[in-house]
Amino acid sequence: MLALANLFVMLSILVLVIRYIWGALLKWHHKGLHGFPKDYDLQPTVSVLLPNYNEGPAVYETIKSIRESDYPTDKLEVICIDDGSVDDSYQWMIRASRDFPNIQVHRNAENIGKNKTVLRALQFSKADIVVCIDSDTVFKKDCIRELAASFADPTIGAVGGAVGLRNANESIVTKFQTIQYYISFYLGKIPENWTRTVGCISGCLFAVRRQIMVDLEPKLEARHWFGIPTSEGEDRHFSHQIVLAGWGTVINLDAECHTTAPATLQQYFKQQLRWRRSAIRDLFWTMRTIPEHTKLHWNALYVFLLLPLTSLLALFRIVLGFLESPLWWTDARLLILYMVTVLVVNQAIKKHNPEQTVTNPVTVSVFGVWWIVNTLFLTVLACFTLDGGSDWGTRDKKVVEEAMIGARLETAVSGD
Amino acid sequence: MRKLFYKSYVNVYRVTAMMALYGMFAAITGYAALMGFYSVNKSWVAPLLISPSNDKILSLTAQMVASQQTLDSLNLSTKSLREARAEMVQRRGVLQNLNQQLETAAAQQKSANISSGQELSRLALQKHADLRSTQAMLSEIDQSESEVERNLKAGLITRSEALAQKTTLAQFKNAYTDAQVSEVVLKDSARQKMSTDLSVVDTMSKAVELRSELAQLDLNIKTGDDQISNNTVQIANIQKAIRATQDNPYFVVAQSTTPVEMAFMPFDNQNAVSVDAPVYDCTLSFVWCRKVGSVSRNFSEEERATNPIFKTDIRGTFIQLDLTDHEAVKSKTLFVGRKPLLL
Repeated sequence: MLALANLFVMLSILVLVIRYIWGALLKWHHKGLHGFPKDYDLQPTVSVLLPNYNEGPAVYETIKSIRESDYPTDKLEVICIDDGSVDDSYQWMIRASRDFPNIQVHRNAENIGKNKTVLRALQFSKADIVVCIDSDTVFKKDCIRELAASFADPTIGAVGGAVGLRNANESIVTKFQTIQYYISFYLGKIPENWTRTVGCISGCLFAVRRQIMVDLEPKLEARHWFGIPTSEGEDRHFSHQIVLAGWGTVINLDAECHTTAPATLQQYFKQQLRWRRSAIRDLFWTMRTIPEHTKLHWNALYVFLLLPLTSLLALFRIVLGFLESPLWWTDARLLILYMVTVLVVNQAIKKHNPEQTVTNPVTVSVFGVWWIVNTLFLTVLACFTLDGGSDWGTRDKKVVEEAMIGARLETAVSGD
Repeated sequence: MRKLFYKSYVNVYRVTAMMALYGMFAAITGYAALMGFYSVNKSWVAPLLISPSNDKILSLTAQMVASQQTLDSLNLSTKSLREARAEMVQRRGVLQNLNQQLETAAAQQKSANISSGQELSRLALQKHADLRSTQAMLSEIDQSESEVERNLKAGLITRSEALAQKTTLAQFKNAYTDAQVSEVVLKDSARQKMSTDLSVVDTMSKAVELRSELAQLDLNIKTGDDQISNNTVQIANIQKAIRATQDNPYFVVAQSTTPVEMAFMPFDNQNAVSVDAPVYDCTLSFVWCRKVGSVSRNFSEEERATNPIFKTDIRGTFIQLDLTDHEAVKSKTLFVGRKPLLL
């Protein structure tokens, strides 16, 4: 049993090592392999779909950053839909529509969730390309132009961008995520770009041909887990569906945006739990649809099957580690490895994305043990809560707090 | 139909998930409690049963046998050396006594010789003087003989009277000759007494031999003393090593015919452990405890072991347990002094 578990562990490590080594090789030695043609004269019409829920003034900043992009104004519209926010988000969206051109603002009669809100926004679009974004994300001026140019190749169905953090140095949690995001986008997704099978284009910047989205809408709408409607990880599922439909999915690292990441451990844990649930659901879905995947490049199986499996297999490593020596995770060599990784990645960030540079990067290395929490707690918890989840993620907490504050205010007012 | 399948599946999943999550929660909580408890508890020991066939004990026994053999051999050698020394000392005493007597006798002899020699020399001188005066008288004897002859021829005296007179004169001459001989003998005796003769040389030779033998004996006695001293140091060292070994838990086991119940006590926990302190065995690692015996001996030799909980290398010593419940030795940990949670 131990030998088998160790074999799984070795395999999972091999899978990860191959991913990052292959990523590094492609990035620095075979640039042509993971690249794709871009045509900046293409300039298709673009609809930015902006679902919003309790984002407050941040949604205005998001709309502003889109409208300030260097993409032709007449070819770019923003379709905002508020999903029944209890804060002043809607007012900020209305204000944005007055301040900037080509802004549509709509409001759901009731809270229907992010997934359905995006699909509803799609109904208002007539553009060639739709760009799904998060309401707490800001974009670089050339972001939309870069995304639109990436559709020069008619086989590419969806394009994602490189996501950084708006609040990179807000807390040790965001610092850690900055490093994590950087590794993921600038190294981890490169091998996926190679075969145009990016498994998960981030939902905060997801450009797709509108027709593809329209075609897949029924599938996205009907998504469920044994009869229970699910909307978590819609970006991963959507990317996967696009690949299965025969289209290419790529990441254009020149299309940069910055999102607001969870700043507390609790928020981060919840976010990671949602992502892990969606990854596991996606893994099971992959296993159910293996025959369809065999028609794709073998790298697609690596992306959709092997990589997620490593998370499950890593569980063996953790459990084995605790059985062998309960303090194995305090091994100084691991800490040094984390420290070196963080310092190296931070140097790369400093060189290429200086605004994302992490201050006091050494402190972030203590987060190296996160992968144990990630694997031991998140994976197991996600495996056994696949029937649950929330639509709006970290914003759910906010709504409860807001509602409670509102209720207290009302009580106070009525008391007077 | 599909709806029913989904519903059933989800229901089964939820029950399974709930059980698994509660199980996981219990496991993690238990694990955290276990880690937390053993991080702060300072009274646990790790029991172990050491049998006489243990490799360390076999090795120790072999070492002990070799040490004992060496010790016995050294003791025997020391005893022989002491006996030989005593004999040599006794012999040296006898020889020293003999030497002293010899020296005394030689001195006395020498003194007597000197005295006798001087007396004899004086007598020889006197004898010589006497002989000189006697020699003067001898010429008169010769004249007397001639006169006797003349008187005989003259018939003044008879032949008998002449013979008697000649005999008397011859006796004088003989007496003179004898006196001369005596002088020579006397001189010789005086010379002998006044000078070193062969007997003296012989005596001296014997005295030298005696002293040489004494010196050899002294040397042998000193060599023996050194050897005895060296043996004594070695014996003390081996005895010390054996005493130290006797404070070794493995020696205790080696002396026993049955396995001995021991426990590893980390240095961090040594304050809780004393001889006769009660020992507790607990259910659920440290929750419900019962007394299972007491500490019978505390060894001082350092041992290294693996922490039964954290699996890290730790230092400590062994303690010997006197267990009333021998099954307790199979527990991962025992507690000394008091029940850890007072339950």
